[in-house]
Amino acid sequence: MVEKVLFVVFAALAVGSGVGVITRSNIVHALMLLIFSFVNIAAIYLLTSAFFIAVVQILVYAGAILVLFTFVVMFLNLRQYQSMEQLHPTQKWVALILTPLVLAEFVVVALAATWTAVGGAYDPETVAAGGGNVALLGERLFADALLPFEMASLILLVGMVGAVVLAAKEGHEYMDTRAWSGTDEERTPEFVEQEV
Amino acid sequence: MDIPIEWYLVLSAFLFVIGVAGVLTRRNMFIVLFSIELMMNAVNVNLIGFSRFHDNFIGQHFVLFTMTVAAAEAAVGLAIVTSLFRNRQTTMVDMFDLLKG
Amino acid sequence: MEHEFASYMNWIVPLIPALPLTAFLVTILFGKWYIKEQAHWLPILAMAAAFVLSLLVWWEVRQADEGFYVELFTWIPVGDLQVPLAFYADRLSTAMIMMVTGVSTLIFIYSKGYMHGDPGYYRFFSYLSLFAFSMLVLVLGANYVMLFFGWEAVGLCSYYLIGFYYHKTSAAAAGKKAFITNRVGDFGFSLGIFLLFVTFGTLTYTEVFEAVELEGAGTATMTAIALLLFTGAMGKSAQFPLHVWLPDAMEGPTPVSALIHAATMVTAGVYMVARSSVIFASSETAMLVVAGVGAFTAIFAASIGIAQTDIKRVMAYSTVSQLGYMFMALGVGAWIPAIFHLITHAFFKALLFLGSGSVIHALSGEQDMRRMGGLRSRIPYTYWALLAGAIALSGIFPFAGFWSKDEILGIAFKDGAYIIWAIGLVAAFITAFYTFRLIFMTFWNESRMEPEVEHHVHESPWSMTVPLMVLGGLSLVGGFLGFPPEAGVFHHFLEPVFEPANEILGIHHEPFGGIDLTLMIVSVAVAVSGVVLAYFFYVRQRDLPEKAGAAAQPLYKAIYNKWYIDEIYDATVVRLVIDGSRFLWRSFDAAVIDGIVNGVGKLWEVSGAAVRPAQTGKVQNYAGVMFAGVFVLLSAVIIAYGL
Repeated sequence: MVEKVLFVVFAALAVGSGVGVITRSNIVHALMLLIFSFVNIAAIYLLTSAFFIAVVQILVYAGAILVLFTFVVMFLNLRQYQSMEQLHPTQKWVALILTPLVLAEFVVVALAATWTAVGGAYDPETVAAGGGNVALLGERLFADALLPFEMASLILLVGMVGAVVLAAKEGHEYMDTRAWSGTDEERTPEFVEQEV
Repeated sequence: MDIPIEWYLVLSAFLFVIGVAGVLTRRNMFIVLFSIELMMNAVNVNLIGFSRFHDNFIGQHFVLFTMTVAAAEAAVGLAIVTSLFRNRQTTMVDMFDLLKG
Repeated sequence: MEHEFASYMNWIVPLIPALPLTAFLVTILFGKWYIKEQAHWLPILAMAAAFVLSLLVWWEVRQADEGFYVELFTWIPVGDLQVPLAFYADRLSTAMIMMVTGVSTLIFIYSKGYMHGDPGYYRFFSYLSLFAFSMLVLVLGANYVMLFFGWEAVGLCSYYLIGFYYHKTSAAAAGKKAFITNRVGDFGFSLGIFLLFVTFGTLTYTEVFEAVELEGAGTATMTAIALLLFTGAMGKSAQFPLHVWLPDAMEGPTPVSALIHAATMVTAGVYMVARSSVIFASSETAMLVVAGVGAFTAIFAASIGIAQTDIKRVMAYSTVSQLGYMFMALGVGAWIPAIFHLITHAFFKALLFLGSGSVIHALSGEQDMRRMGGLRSRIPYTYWALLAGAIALSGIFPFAGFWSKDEILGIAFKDGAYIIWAIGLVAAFITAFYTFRLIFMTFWNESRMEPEVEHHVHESPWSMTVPLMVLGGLSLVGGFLGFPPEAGVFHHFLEPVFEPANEILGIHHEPFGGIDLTLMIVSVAVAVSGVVLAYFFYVRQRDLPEKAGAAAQPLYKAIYNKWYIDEIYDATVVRLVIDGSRFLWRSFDAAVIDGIVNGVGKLWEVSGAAVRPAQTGKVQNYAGVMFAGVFVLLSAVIIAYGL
């Protein structure tokens, strides 16, 4: 019973701060509300006894990813855009009509469908007895999903390289293509050879 | 199980629709990115709920991978935003319509 | 009795066409950058070697009645149609290859001097080699498909060589004219081959002829086959009304005119009819048509020759006329005299062309006889060689032309074909007249040359005069191959080939008799009177031609304008095709076809413009549409599952 109450509280806070995220015109405020929403979701993970995921949610999501966002937002100094129109002029009406309808449909589906558990082996009591959530999750991860795990590491590497290349300032030393100052007529073979 | 699975699904639906509304309506590129993160978390809530419901770890594994992708997406997305901002001096999404027919 | 051929025949027969083919490939591939001015050596050597091999083949073939057949591989296997790449060397094709390789060798040597310094030197020799290859395939092929291949290939080479100076509009146009006119004939020819295959189920000579002899087919079928084949011969051998391309073909270099348009290619039609003698003999109508067309062409072309002023054009019309003679002979069943005339004509007409080439060479390219004259002492070798050719062409005893021409006339007379004999006699008279008109206008009297040209007159180099002398000698003595008339070496050699056809026609040989002698004297008298008339007109009283021309003004004009044949074609066939094409272009292509194509394009343009605004380029609009799609799908799921 206590859990249910806590779930409703955390869920309400998560949804409420989520609504705040998309309604603020100040980006920093929106970002803080997003972090708050993620912390609440982490709390719901804890209630669901997914302890490792809850910790990762706070460390990686709220901690790392959103801090990255914060950095960029701060760097770019976007305060001047707050005074501008924040909503898409035509699109907002589309969203206003569609979102409640889809939400209603989601809820209808969620409530009307009959859900049957397959009854796996890892209920919270067994997990606690078998060494705890982290140990068993890790065991199963490396047993069942080793290849995807490795691929995930590759994705991160690619993402990192991509981010560096995209964000690098043009005209930077290693991106520089040699500037050509003369006209085409002056491009003698000797010069080309020199350049090569 | 104390908390019914439907609760997770409804929570997830709310968070997801909030994210969609953000993506569809807001002009600021950062808010759009935030909304996308919100939508991903909605999916994660779903996965965690089902992981507990079925008493296995598959959902939790998925969440880990989702987070990995989210991290990569955030890094690349922010890099794109940065270079766009550098070139066009704006973060308003609807200003970028070079592919207009 | 089957004759056992020596085993080396298996490779020398295919080697004869292979030699010029090799020369062609090497010269065309390496000529431009590597061989250049030395391009003549390989083709000349290849041709000479082919000539030697032909002599070897002759040595073998003369011992056997039937031909030598060698099959290399099956070339076209399609259902019932099995066409082998095979060669057939019998007495007829052996006579042809000896003539082709021999004359070709001489003309190749001549070309070395004539084409010296031409920028297309290597190109010229490679085309000549390709032509020699094609011609040898034509005469050596063992079936009608090989014949057709060679037939088309020589046509192609002829097109290349007529248009050799392709930067000259008239040369390019003449090449096209030759090609298109030949298409008309070749269309009939290919139809004839199809009909032959449908009727007898085979295209190999020996099998076809055997089938014709043993079973035959209906007279109508045989007539159709023979006439269709003859259409092809009319195109290739420039018979009326398809003769128009040959005079224009003189735009090509003179060795080409000598080789292709006098000695070899144009005689392919005669060879083909002689080769198919059994088929033609099976149809009286076809024989009559061949004789009629030949006789008409003989006198028709000769009449045009009287009034031409271009030295090569006179010769071209003379060639057409002589080819008419050959067909006339074939038409009355005088197979061997026809081939005999073909061979002697190859000698003296090649000689005449090469000689006039030498004249043109000496006069720095001048071809108009009105601006020649008095060359007798200036270029003596050329003069004497040309004179020998002219006497041979006129048919004066004892030169080559006399024997072959007289034999044709004799057989026609004895056959009872008096009309044809009379036409032949008149044509012979005209021939003697215009031939000596050419000689007198070119070499006699005072010079009418431009001073600039006269200054440069020179005798041609040895590479040109030696072939002239050799051909001159052949023109002088070549006739004795056919001595005594109708029973000479040549006749005995070819007799077995035409035996089946003669059997069908019921021709038997009469011994040489008094009537032949009388006919000989008549024809020599006619020829000499033609020469004498020419002497009066062009040496003695040189105002006579103008007076005669003025007296018969319309006739003279008609002859001068080649009986307006070109104009008639322009006004009918050419006009019709051009107008029809223009009509189709304007009213069908431009309106209907283009309308459809543009309409289809317009459709997408309009519909594209209609849906274009949907592409706003704004990502959020796309996401919104996608979200609407999610809504629709979810609704569908809810309704479907009745949730």
